[in-house]
Amino acid sequence: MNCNEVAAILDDHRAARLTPTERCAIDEHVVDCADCAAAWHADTALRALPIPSTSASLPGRLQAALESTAAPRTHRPRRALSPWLVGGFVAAGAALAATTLVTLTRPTDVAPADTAAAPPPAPAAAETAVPTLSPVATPQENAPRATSVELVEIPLAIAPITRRPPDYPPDALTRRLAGHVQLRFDVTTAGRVENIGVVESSDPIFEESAIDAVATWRYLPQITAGKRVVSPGIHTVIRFEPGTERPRTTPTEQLAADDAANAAQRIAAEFSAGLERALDRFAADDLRGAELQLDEMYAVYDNDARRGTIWNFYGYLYTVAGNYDRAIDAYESAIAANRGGNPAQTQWVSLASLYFARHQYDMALRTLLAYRDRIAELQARYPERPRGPMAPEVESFIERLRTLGVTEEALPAR
Amino acid sequence: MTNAHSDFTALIAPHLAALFRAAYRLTGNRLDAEDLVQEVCLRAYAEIATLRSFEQPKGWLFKVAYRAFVDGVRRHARSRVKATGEDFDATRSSDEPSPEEAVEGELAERRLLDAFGRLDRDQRALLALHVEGHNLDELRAITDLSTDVLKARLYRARVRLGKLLAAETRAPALALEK
Repeated sequence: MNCNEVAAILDDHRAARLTPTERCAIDEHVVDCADCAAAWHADTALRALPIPSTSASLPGRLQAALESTAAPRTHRPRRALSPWLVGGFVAAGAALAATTLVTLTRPTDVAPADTAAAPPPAPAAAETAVPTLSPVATPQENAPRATSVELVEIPLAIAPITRRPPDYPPDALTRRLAGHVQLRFDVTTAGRVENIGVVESSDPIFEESAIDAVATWRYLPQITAGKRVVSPGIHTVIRFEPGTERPRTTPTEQLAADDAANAAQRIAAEFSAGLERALDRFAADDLRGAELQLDEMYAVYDNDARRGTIWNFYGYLYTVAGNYDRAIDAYESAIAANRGGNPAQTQWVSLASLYFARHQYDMALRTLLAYRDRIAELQARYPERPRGPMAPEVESFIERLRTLGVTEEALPAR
Repeated sequence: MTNAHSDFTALIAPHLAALFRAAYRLTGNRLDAEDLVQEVCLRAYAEIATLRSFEQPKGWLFKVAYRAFVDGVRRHARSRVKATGEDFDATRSSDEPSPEEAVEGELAERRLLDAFGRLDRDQRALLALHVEGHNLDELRAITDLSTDVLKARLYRARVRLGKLLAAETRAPALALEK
């Protein structure tokens, strides 16, 4: 039994009519799968909800309501769907967007803060050499509590969503030449890369290929004060290292390996194209379209890494829309999907920021500490892969919480 | 009563109970559910010609209900599900279980409705219509979403509801203001 089969049973209303074998298979699955356990529990609870009967007054009430309206024109030409209705369905679609993404037009979705605390600094993308942090006000010592209301917004720093690796320059490969290129570029409000310049490179031979690749990269644009803004001066370093010489294989083996590699590459390309479509819709301020695109991708891709990427995008989208509940849910799912991999700092810091905006300071701190533990654990396990010191954003965020009296020692035990 | 009225009442009467059930699931209390049913009836009434053109208007009525709910029945301030004691008292009928069972059941119900109320409207609408017995094909017609999207959204809505339910049963979360 897997998640899709469990979902299909629920979708088909078969949960109450299972064979004993199916029942056992589901029980086995949900022990290990928290999502399916939650889904199953929710479905059971919903079906168990008692529905009261209608009150005796309802028909009379309806009658009264009807009588207070004018009788409709009954000579409307008979059409299966009148234009009005078609318009109505489109409006229904638009309204759907309005529910999940309701605050698009309001630049900063707001939660009133009860302290003079400013939002934590923006999580900066890992390679951002010149991070553009939102201005951070230091909490004032004797700021009046409760009387000052400040808008809290979640600053969203740029985050890469598709990064095609550069082609290895053939000449360099034949010479088995390694090298690196440092590039500087701007990320537009549509998340595209522009104004690419070479800062420094080990050999000009790599520059063209590096620039070509970076030109196709897409980022989730930075959001400041609820608006998509240009992120100037992003730096990235691309390293070229020739792999170890492949052991000689038979032509058949070689062909099979090539086929597998091509198939994997095609899926990766399709996945990236899907993300780009979502991003294009987002950049056109069509949040609902972006969400729908992600929904479609979510239905197609069920591997953890890809789901993690999709969840991350959802988190971003819902944060922009001001739907913090769902944003938190999405980032938590993204982190869970990525549990085996390299932790993405933006996800953890965004999640902590969201908790912060909702005044769940304990949860904000727990999130940051969990991230710190995770990094420490990886460092212990792979000492040969040196990591820089903890990103300053995380430490300063923890420090900020400390000034609010939220410290590791003061956390209530779980 | 005009002809149009009695005509309309006859058309819609067989579906009122089902509409109310779905509306109750959507809104979580009887008052809002009845408001929603009324809204659906008014919208349907304005389109009585369309209503007549269907042999089985049920699907269309649910589509109107779905749209009305997702729009938010804006004329009424009660938009969020509130599981207040008042609503529950109002919904009790006489053939209820023993007081202890009732308290226990009521708590579970309240938790469910609270958690349900924290979902987004579109998630609530999907789950409510689905649990009311609509299959994926019907849901597709009601919502104009593709089957894949519906499946993914239903699953996610359930997972989220299940997690919210689990969170509600734990101790109330972390407050800084001690």
